[in-house]
Amino acid sequence: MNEQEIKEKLKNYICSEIIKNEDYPLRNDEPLLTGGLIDSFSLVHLAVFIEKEIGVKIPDTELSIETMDTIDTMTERIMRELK
Amino acid sequence: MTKISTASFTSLVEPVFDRVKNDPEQLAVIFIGSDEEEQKISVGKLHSAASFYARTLKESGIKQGDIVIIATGHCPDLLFAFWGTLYIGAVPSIFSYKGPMSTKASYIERLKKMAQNSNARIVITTPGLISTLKESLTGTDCRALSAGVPADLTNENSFFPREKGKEQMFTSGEQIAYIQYTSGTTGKQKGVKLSHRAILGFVQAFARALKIQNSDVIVNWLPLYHDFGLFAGFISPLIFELPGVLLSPFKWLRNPKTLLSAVHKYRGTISFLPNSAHNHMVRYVSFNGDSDLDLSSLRVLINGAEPILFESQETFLTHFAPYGLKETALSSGYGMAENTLGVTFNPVGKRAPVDWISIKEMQSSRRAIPAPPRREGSKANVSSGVPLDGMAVAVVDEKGRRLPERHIGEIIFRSGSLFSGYHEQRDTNPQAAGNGWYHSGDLGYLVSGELYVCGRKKDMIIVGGNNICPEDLEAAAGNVPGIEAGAVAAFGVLDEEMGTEKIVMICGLERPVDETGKLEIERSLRRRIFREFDVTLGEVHLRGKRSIIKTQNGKITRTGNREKYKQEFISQAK
Repeated sequence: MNEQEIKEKLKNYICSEIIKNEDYPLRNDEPLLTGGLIDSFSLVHLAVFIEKEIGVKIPDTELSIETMDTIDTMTERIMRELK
Repeated sequence: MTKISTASFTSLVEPVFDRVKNDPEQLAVIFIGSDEEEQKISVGKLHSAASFYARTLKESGIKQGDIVIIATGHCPDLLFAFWGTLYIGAVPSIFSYKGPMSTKASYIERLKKMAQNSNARIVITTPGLISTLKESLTGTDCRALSAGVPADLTNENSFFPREKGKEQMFTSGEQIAYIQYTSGTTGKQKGVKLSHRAILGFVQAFARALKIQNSDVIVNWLPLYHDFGLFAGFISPLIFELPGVLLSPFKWLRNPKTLLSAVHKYRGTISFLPNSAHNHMVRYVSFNGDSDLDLSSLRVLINGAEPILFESQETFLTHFAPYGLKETALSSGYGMAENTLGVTFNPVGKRAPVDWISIKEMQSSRRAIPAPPRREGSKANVSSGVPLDGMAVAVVDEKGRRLPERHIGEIIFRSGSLFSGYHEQRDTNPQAAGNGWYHSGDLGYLVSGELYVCGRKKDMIIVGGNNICPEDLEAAAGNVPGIEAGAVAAFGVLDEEMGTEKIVMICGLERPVDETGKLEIERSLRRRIFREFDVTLGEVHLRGKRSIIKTQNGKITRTGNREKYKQEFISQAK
């Protein structure tokens, strides 16, 4: 899976399963947590999705704004593991 | 049999002094941190560390009755600072934990606001936050103290007299012991003042309702800034000489199996789980070959703090029964911060009864008429139990007249554990208005003495056990550029998947804007609500201001807008 595919995958999941609006024009740099789009329960859902579908386990300490606030930061963290 | 009387105590500190005197080595708390490291804390250690905080606070000029905000998050210092504050007769208030969702800046901003609103004299926080907090509190009357106790505390043991009768600062149980911040029924967050007498009365009634035994072990993952976690999970076991296992709420959120592992390991008998937590556990606890997990020790699992859904309990039972979860453990309760914690609890040893009623009758005649289970048009209500010892519950109509069984009306109650008023507000006696009865604002009905809660009169939104006041959200939305102030409705809608409510906001636009403009307004609104209240909105709908439903007097109606929303979105989905 390349970077672009990961971003697409995350975007699709977030829009359809969390925001529940597939037409939402989510930007890759759009703040999800501080932007009030994803709550703490959904953050956990997202982490589990990443683990199951992409095969990367984000440690608990990194389930934070620094790592998880945007699709870009999440992807960067995931790619570090895949490289 | 554990003694379950608090009648001989005037304050919360005496039972702890007694325990220290009798057996300082006795286990008080098993503290499990975010890193899953376990610390066994004896009553002696708790006392020494609390004494250290008491002395430090005293040296910082804190006096009896002063407000001390504890913002340390989940760590043993929270317990020590809490008890140390009580030792000098000051009043602790635990602030919410800094979770993965908040930045340092937004957390400190909220903390400062709280310190100012509550007129706190000092805030205790972690070494990691202390410099930012100090900076933020510059120029205010509130000081900041870094949490942490020295490794060697042996000298602290004699600081406070252990002999009974020497704790002169507690001459009356009416003295305020704690301030519980909650989103009250109207307007801004309110500080619920609780006296030592109210709390001691509650824990005694709670222990009796749970039929507390010496063999009980209370396992709690709820945060202690929530009344459920504080009074049920921490204070009750400490007073009743039972081991209390305290888990990290964030650890639980990320891996809810930690609760079950703790129940298994320590043979936990009592635990607490708001409704949404049932759903979360079913979704995220899977068993991969570790079927030796044994939940059979659990005799009471209280569902409370938010509406109880039959489906959530059913699914939970099906999921965990193979691991020994007993059906009779599925319990329930109803309460509010204004009554310390609970008003009713399901009697132990039986599953909370379920009452199937006709939805149509409920809507048309406001009566709970029995209907066939699991049929279309039938709704399951889970009983919230019977009043605790020394409390009484009734249901009344709008004019305050008592209603017969199965008639839906406002829940009122009488109790010795009522609050002493709201902090910094000139309230009269909370019971005075109701002639000794406290009007909850919640809706329910009674059947054979069991209380069934079926709604909230005052539009409170409850997300995952946290109360959110719609007025606050609406006022904040009115300040977002593009949204017409006064043309906003916020309400809660049941999210079945999550087992709790989600917040829906319908906002009128100042002037028509295109889709891109709308999206920008929605983004500003979500950001603002998150920053101010630390909550995430479920849905935002922006409309022309004329399509927001108002009453004849021109006032926004939440019920009207909620009904319109349901017609548009929920019936459409089905």
